[in-house]
Amino acid sequence: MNAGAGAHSGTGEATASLCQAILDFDSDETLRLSLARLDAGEAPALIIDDCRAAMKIVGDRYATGEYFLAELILAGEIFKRVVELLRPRLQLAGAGDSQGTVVLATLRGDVHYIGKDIFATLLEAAGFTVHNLGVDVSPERVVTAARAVDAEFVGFSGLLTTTFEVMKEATGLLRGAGFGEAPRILIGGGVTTSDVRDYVGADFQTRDAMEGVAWCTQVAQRVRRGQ
Amino acid sequence: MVNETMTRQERVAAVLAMEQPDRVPIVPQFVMGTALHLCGVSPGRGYSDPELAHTCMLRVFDEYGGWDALYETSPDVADSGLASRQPLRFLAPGRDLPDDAALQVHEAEVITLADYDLIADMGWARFFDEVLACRLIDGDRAQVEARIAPLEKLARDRCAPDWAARGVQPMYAAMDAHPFFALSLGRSLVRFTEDLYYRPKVVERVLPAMTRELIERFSRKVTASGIRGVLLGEERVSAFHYPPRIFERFWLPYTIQIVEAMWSMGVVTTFHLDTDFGKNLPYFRQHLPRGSYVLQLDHTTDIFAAKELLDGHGILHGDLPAALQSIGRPGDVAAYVEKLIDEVGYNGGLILGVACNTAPDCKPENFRAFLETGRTHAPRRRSRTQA
Repeated sequence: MNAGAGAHSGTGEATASLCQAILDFDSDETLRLSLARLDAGEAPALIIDDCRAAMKIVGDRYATGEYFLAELILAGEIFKRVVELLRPRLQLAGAGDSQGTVVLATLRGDVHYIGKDIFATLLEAAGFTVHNLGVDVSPERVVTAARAVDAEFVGFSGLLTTTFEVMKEATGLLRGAGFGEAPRILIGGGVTTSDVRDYVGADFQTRDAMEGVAWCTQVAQRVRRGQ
Repeated sequence: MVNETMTRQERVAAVLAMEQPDRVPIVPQFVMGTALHLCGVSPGRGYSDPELAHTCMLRVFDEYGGWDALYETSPDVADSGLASRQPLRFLAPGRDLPDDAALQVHEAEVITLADYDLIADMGWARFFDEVLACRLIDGDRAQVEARIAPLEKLARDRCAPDWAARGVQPMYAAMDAHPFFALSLGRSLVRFTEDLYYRPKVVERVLPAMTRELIERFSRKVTASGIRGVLLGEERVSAFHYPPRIFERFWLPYTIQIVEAMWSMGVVTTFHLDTDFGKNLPYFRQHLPRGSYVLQLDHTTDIFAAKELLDGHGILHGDLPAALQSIGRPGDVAAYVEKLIDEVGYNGGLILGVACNTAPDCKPENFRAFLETGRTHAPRRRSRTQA
């Protein structure tokens, strides 16, 4: 695998090596290179930027069918480890550089978390600030959290049909909560369909984590352009 | 309308023999959560009382006019997973969850990396019974036995006779997770994915023995029951999760062994396939004997495309979507079932079922529409292209 010319935002051999280590799914090498750059005095944010550039390539390769969910998982796990390594020295997504703020939850009555957590990692890798509220979360808690962080997006994950009603309840509360601009609401999970999206009143539905990341990115870019 | 000329058993047998039945056989994976919902019994009460749960299953069968075969005779209570060696912690309403919650699994790394050695040394069944089962309930073997024994007694004394009295039989002599799927569940998705990519030989150390053991277990149960079907669950290996090289290396060879062993006994293997297997379907046609398998699809795989690819080679089982059961209208359900019969079941080769299992909040009118349309709708056309 090769990162390819112009594939990452930084320049130089260090950037290319780090990117390639992620594309090789080499966790140890990625951490070793990150630590070396940190020890050399490089700003943690630049290291994260390079990791995000690699994750962008991973996402692009997933979109073209070259990679599968497995590769998203592996790269996401590596990204998480780098962030954990750098976190003490890093305010990961400061207000100035975040793509947007996302609140994620699996709602009341459902304790499935794997898909949601994969999505959270991929969103962070794409530059979003993610507040992952966990599982079995009440709609009221979602509204409180979304308001507290001024969320631009709220995502609900579900693997049970019984959560459709709770998604609908939460969506209704969010729409009526008096936000300056109501957050966009997306839903995902194996049992969701476009009919479920319409039923709960969400803006977007997917069973594909990267499709969800792409949608959030597009919407965030449109908002920034004032469209 | 359909003129019924076959018994339930004849109808199911005809489809499994790749012959045309009088009408499509109806075999939903009808789970206890749905039965309790349709009977107005709270999940907490039902899951704590397996006899009540069994009574609810029978009541729905009787009140809704029945269907053609069962997955199994016992209700899927909270400890059923323990009894059937599923490497998962089950969270039961009324015990681990609120009274009105649905039964759920809590996936966690219950099998450690070091356990691969234990599985290799002990075999899967011994490892599960002597090590993992205790770990799953945070108890000892006596406590495991105390949970399982009442279920076995209920199955023997009540369930099997009650269903036999209704003239409906289970389709499967045995149901189990594919060895790949069992490891994925027990290790958890992320850790198992790392095993496959970073430590493949560790996984390959146990897969052959787990496969042999599964074949032996299936064979024993087929011989004991006389039922000519087994079910193999797999929800984690499709192209939704993994590239073909993983499928070809860690799943396909073992699957071929299982299916060929069963087929040599005249037994059809049903695959319970969740997630989108669309890109994997050609492997079934290429590598498995004609008529040796049934694919249960969960609506994420396009069953109509699967029909075009596998027509005359394999049998399809599905796939009323969960969302349609839960929030759809009876007319929508009926229209979808008619489409299934018209386009997938027009020439046999279809067992009418639901995506994965019946929804725990399935509307009564939708379940009725599903069954009644399946019983009465005669196919109107041969295929989409000829419609």
